[in-house]
This record gives sequence, structure tokens and C-alpha cells, in this order.
Amino acid sequence: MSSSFKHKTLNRTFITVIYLFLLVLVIPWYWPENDARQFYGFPLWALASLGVLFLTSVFTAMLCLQNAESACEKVG
Amino acid sequence: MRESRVSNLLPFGFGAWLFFSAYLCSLLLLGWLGRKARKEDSLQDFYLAGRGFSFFVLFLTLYATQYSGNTVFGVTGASYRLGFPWLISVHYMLAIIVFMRTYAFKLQTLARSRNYVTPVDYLKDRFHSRLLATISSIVMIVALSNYLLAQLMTMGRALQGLAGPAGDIAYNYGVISLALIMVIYGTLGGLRAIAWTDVIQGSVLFVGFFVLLLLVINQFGPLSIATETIAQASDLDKLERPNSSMLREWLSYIFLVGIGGALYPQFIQRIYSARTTQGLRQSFAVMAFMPFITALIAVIIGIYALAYIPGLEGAATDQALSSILRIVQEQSLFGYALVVLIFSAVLAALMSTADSAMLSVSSMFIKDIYGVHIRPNASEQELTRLGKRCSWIVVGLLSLLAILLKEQTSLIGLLDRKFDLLVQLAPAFMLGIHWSGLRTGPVLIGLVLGIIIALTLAFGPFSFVVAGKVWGFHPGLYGLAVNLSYAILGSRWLAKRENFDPI
Repeated sequence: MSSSFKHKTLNRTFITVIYLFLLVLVIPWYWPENDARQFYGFPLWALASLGVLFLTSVFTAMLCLQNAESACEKVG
Repeated sequence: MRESRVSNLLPFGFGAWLFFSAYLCSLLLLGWLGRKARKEDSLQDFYLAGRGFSFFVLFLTLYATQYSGNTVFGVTGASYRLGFPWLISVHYMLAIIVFMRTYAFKLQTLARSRNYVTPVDYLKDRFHSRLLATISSIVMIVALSNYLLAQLMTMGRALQGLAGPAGDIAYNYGVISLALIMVIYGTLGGLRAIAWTDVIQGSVLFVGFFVLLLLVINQFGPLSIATETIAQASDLDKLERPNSSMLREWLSYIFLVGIGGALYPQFIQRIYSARTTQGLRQSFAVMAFMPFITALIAVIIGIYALAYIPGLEGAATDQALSSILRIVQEQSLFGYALVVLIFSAVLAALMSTADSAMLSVSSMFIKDIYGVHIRPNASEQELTRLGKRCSWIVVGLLSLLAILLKEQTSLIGLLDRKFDLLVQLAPAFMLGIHWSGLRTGPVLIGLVLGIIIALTLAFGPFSFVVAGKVWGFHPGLYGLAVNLSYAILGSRWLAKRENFDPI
């Protein structure tokens, strides 16, 4: 197994774990169901979810702006 | 997709119609300029604009294509009905970008080196199976035709509401005239013209949404007062965290729309048309933030409508946006002018999505069906010429259908299973591009199984299917689970068997 293959696999695993972590937090299952508190008109649970969503956007944008993969990758 | 007038604005005056006419004429002009700019009479030039899109054009064409009439009317309407729990629409719009990122950059590199034109070209190259390619083409054409039909019907309804008592006739004229303009500029300049119009449409959409938010805040005050008003009306469920059943639906929407939307053929063809991977990466990076300034604004408008225009029921809730606009329109000349701009943004959202779908359907029909099964020896010029005719036929037939089905929402509802179908292509695209061990046979059988399960659950007479979902999850995801498992396990089993082959 080459070191570049290992690195790629680790990289993909890391990305998947981060996305799963964000997915768990972006769905507000952990918030009390009857909580109607608000902040500037947004329910707090909605702000929490949107905050995590924004982090997801930042993470996605960072991944997109990483250096392009090799242009001569094989199909599959 | 619902049957209703999506616009109940005051009829526009001469100045407004002049503005719309100038806007529509500019689209035709861009079509003509796109034709003048063509470099050769080839499929690649017509359907992919010669693979020459830089970051700016690519970003705006992706943006204008992703945010459709549904974002404008559907999301505000759903937010009116459900309240803040419909924030899921912001989430699934981002999920589309997240899932596209998993395969787009590698696919762009391959497309450039191997001259892919349609999404199915990649599948032919990767899996070497005519049957898999044909089934995939049919799935994409069916899903996209349904999408195009929905956009055409919304175009009709957008104009219907402006015409007062002559609404029904205006619906027909709206469908025909906007479809005609779209097919003219689309067939004149191909993707080049469509992307240039997307630059205008994307910009108008972008500005329109911002203006809309400012207008609404100026008119009704801060969001906190709107939320208080909803709370006082005892609509607390529209402010509270979604219940556990709705949370499962959130998860389902994130995966279904995220994966299905990422596999829209018109998106894949935009990936192919990028000049560089770097430009594509930059476009995706910006697209990752667009849900916050488009879908989120649509949700907020829905909340304002819920607070200040109570009483809309059922399909009428899709009028939430236009009801808000009407109030703004009545206030001042400035408000009236801004509503004209926003209405242009609505037309932009509809046409930019519809024209992309039209071009993708015609490219797949001509290259993957006609060019493979009917005339395999046809030249590029012949296919390009026929592709243009195909666009006219597709739009003509769907416009007719849009007029005939004006009142038949239930039938349209049945057709609206496009994401359940599109997600079944995920193993072939998203897994196949990264894992060389994925085999053709298991992918093909997995795809067929996935489609059968999704359609059976969606249309079968099962008591456990509630509101088109099983335990909160869309049928397509159950199909995808079986599809993906079969593709992976089958490929591993085949590899193991070959390793133990004594020969």
C-alpha cells in the first residue's frame, strides 16, 4: 500500500467523520421539544441548527479550495 | 408542486411590462450572440459551450440552475404551512453541494480527457454496459421531464395571477410565450447562450432576494415581532423544534434531495463545461454559502407571511410570497418598482432552471438513445441539428401537457418522484468514480432493484406508507440502501470468487 494511498484513505475517513459529526448536530434532536425561546426572532433551536449548517458550509468551502487532485487519475 | 395561482399581485402597468419585455428580449439577444460565438458545429460546443466556463459564469449558471421557481414559491409556501421546521430547505440545498463535491472534481478531469458530453458518457466509459447506460438515460430523462413540466406550469401560474379575470387564458399564454422564448435562445446558442442568460438571471435572482428581505423588514418590522405574532396566535408548533417524526423527515430530505439533486444531469453537464478544476472548486466553495442568502430568505418570507397574512389554507399557501408582495406593491411607487424587479427574479428563477433541463433532456435523448439505438453512425453535425429539433419537440409536448394538466394536481403529484429515481444512480457515479472494484453486474442489478423498490413503495397500496414516506423516510432511500448494498457486496463477492479461481 503506497503512502499516498494511505494518506488519501485517511483523508477521506477524516472528512467523512467530520461530516457525520456535523450531521448529528445539524438535526436538533438534542434540543428540548417545547422550548419557544427566541433570539432576534429566531427560535434558539433554529439558530443552533443554522450555526452548525454554517460550519458545514465553511468546511465544504475549505475542502473545495484545497489543491486539485492529480489530473491523470484513472476511471474508478 | 401544487395547483394554485402563485401570484395574486395587482396587475402591472405599461412600464412594468416594458421592463419585462426588455428583459425577455435581452435573453433572445444573448441566444443570438451565443450562436455567433460558437466555434464548431459539434455536440461538445453546443451542449457544453466548448468546455470554456470560467469561475464567474460557472458560479452564476450553477446558482441560477439550482434555485428554481420552487425555491421562490414552494419554500415560502411550505414555511407558511409548517413554520421554522421548514428550515430543512436550507439544509438540503447545502447537502446538494456536499454530495456533488464527492465526485465532481474527479469527474471534470475525466470528462475533459475523455470528451464526455452527457452524464451517461461517463457510465459507458466506466462500466461498458449498454443496458446500464440506457436505463440510466431513461431514469434521468423521466426525472428531468417532470422537473421541466413543473417549471412550465409555474411559469403559467406566475402570469395567471397578474391577469385578473382573464387568468385562465393568461396561464396558457404564459406557458406558451415563456416556453417559446426559452426554446429560441436555447436552440440558438446552446449551453453557451443558456449560461450567459444564467449570468443575468442569477444576478437578478441574487439581487431580488436581498431586495425582498429588505422590503419585508421595512414593511413589517423586525422578525422578532413576526415571531411574537405567531406565538400569540397559538401557532407554537410552527416555532418549536420539529417533533421526532419530523426530525426523521429532516434526515430523509438531507439524503434524498442532497444525493438526488447532486445527480441532476444539468449539474453534471455544468461540471463537464468547466474550463478548469480550479474554477469549478471555487464555484462550489461560493455555492456552499448560497442557501443562506436564498433558501433562508425564502423561509423568513414565509414566516412573515404566516404572521401578517393568516388564513391561507392548502394550495393557497403557495400564494404567501405574492400576498406579501401585493402589500408592498400597494404602499408606494418605489415598492411597486421593487416588486417588478422581484417578479423579474421569479421569472429568472423559473426560466434558468427550465432551459437547463430542456437542454439536458435533448442531449441525452439524442446522444444516449437516438445515437446509440437508432442511428449509431450519425455524425456530430446531424446529432447537433437533431438535438435542436428535439428541444422544440420536448418543450412543445411538455407545454401542451402543462396546459392540459392545469387542474390535475394529483396526477402531477404522482409524477413528482424524481429524487426517488435519481438517487438510484448514486452508486454508479459517486462510488464508481472512486472505487475501481465496483463491478458492472452488481451496479446494474442494484440499480434495477432500487428503482423497483422505490416505485413499489411510492405507488403501492401499503398502509405503512404515510404521506409518501415509510417511518418518515422517502421510498427512494430504501431503494438506495438495497441498491448500494447489492452493488458493494456483489462486487466484493465477484472479486473474491475471481481470486480463488484455480485458472
